[in-house]
Amino acid sequence: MGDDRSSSGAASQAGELPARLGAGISDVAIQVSCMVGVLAVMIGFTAIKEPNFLSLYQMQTTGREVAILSMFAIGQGMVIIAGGIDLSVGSVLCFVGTVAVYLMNATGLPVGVIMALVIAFAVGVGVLHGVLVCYLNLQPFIVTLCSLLVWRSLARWLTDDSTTGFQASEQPFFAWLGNGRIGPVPVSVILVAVVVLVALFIMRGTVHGRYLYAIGYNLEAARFSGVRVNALRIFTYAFCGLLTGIAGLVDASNVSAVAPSSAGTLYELYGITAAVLGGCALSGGQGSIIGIVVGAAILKVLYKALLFLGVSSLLTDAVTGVVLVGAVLTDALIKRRRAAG
Amino acid sequence: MASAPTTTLGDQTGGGSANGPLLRMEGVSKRFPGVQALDGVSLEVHAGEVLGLVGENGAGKSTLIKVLAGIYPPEAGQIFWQGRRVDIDGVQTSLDLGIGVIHQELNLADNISIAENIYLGRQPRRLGWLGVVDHRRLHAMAQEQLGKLGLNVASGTRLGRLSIGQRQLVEIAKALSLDAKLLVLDEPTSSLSSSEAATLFGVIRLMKRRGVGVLYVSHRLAEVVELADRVQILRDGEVAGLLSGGEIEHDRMVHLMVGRDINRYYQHEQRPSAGNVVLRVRNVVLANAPSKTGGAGESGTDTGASGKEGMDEATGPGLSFELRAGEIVGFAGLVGAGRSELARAVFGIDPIRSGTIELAGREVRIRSPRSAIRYGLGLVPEDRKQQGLILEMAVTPNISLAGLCDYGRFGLLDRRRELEVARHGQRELSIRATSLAQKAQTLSGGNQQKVVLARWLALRPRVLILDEPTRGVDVACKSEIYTLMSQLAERGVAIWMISSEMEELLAMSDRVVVMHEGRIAGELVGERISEESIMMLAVGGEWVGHG
Repeated sequence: MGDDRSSSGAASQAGELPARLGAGISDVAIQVSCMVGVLAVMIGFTAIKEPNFLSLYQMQTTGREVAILSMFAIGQGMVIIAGGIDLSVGSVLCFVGTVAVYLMNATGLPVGVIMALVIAFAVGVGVLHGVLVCYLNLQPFIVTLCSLLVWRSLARWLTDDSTTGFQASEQPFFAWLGNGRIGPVPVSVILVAVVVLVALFIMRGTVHGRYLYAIGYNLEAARFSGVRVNALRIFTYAFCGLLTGIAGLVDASNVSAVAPSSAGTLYELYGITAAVLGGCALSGGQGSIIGIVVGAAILKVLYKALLFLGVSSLLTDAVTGVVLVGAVLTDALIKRRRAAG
Repeated sequence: MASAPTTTLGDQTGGGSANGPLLRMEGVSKRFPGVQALDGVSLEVHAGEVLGLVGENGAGKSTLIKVLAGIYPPEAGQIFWQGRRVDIDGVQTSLDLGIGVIHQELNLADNISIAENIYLGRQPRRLGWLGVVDHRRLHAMAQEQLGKLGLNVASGTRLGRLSIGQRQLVEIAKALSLDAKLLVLDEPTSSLSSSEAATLFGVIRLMKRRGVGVLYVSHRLAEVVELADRVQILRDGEVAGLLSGGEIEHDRMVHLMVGRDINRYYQHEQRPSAGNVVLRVRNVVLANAPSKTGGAGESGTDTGASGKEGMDEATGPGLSFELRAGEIVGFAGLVGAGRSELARAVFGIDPIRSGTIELAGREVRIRSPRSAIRYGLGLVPEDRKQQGLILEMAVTPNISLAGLCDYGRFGLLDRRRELEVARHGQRELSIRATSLAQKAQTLSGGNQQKVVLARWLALRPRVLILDEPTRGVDVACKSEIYTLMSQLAERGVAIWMISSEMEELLAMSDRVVVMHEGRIAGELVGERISEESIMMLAVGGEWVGHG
């Protein structure tokens, strides 16, 4: 590779870095480090004003929230990387939680069976999305939008729109899932760490991950090269369903009672926000798992920080919106400058 | 590159107009990365004459048209309009001057009426500031324009109900309604039936009598002989000659288009006789048989018989042919003859309705590109940017794209092996890139094509389908690709080469299969392979030169 033809500075620089994906792991690394920097500044600033922000308890609760958001955001991010979109997350999460609690109260089934059932259901919904998108050529936006409407509505109808809770004493394992700790670390954080490792492995360690990026960039070219584009796209929706299912159980356990009218509302959009903050492009092909997790962390830490700094909670979404626009804008400006230079 | 023939132009005029030419281009050049598309081209069009512009694919005809249409600014040279120097810096400028360009792909909307298409954006208004469209006047004006062209349809008809030929006339009517003094027609008959073409020729002659200058671009030489007062020949972006009056002969044009340079890139050498049959396609009928409708968009409601006709032919006997190890088989035919569609179907991209495919004597079912790859097929697609490359990715993942899943076990990514394959491919094909991490989109056309080729070579295919392997590739890369094809054939690879370049077909093919409207019109071997025989079959005629 030590080529004597190196002409433009940018290209030869990229060559020195171990970039293999073109968009360049280097670019992603820079992007992620920037986001981590932003996150650190946010935490630092808030901690100076309110030292309590860094107390163990606060870190644990923030950690749980980041964990739940990251979990389905990773699923959505993978769908987005492969060029799709999943808007059903909030509704499916709500349905899973509602039905799980409902089954616990209404039947004598062991909790493990119930959890397996609802997770299987969530995966099934993902597969259905994938099949409708790939084989019937429906728009993923529309397909998952319909799902968004259907599952919450069914959850509300099933429970008569009433909040259902469970007794932690009767369901110790289920309660532990969302509230328990191993040492000082919340179970949900450990769960999400496992999810991150698995997702990282898929995206970086296997051929399938590489193909997901390829599909996101150019579905047609991937198909012409023998990539099983449909199977892989269906996989992303199914994997997103799986993670949403797990997140739904953890979330239900965490709040210990599920209100089908409000559980998981707008989660799909928060997930997309986290993915985009973390470097995913809605056009597909771009994004990284670590980026998505950092994006989710920024989102949740920002919420918490605003709360600590005494900003009205009614304004948090406004701030989030501005942050997101700022991030996307910065990214666009950097890219434009690089293209010009 | 000094271009000798251009000096014959200047003041010399063939059409003979006292007032000087309507349009004069002098030394116009345009370069694209890797290709000099136009190199000091000069030409003149007079009012009331038809200037034919011919040349092989890639000779620069389309670029020249786009310069006239204001789509590409020329990099050098001057353009004079009615003796006045002009800068055609945009589409609007071109229209304002009175240049009406009828592109191969028509710029019309299917879902609105003919009249609205003609006067889109400049419909007559009434009621002052309310600006309500005056439909009565709109249709009166449109009907008048249609009448001038002898097109007997109501101006309120939805465009989608017209045949392709009629749509083309609507496009001409639109240009005339804009007071076009020069009409540029780009391959106007490529999707017309012969009777429609005859109507068009009538209209062109009519325009001529009215004093409109016509620049007629076509690779159908017979039409040019019939219509043109003068013919200018382009080759590799340069003017290769100018013929007028009685000089306009088929053979002379062919000679100037390809002529002495036929062996320039590659000398066809008779390879030792081909080996066993590797691929046998028998009575294959495509599930979505190609229709004749050109680039003018889908119109299921096409009233003409053309659509049906195509279906019947395609569902008839099906397509049969075979490929032998070590031979290069050229697939010729006009654009839309169904060559790419057949390749896509055999490669498992599109479904096949009936028929069988045999590989090395064994019948196989190819359901997807992946299974095609497993059977040893490779496909370098026609559209490099859409179907060939992941432009945003680097060279390495582009080369490894098809083989990657077989490198490691359990779908693990074997980066080391991947890099080795990429390096090997770069060396074997001498891909010029600053590094393997360079994005594919920043490579020249030729190097991009080499990346796609490297992808398939790494898989050691038994059958390699090359769809327009040298399209948009510079001359140097072209000859490298030809050499590579010969080497592959020598190694026993069966090469299925779809090409629209006559020169390429003649130079490279051991055999030529000619397709016409979704069927195989004939097969030519050895000395029967000639431009004439191929063209005859491609346009649906009978080649009578059989032994």
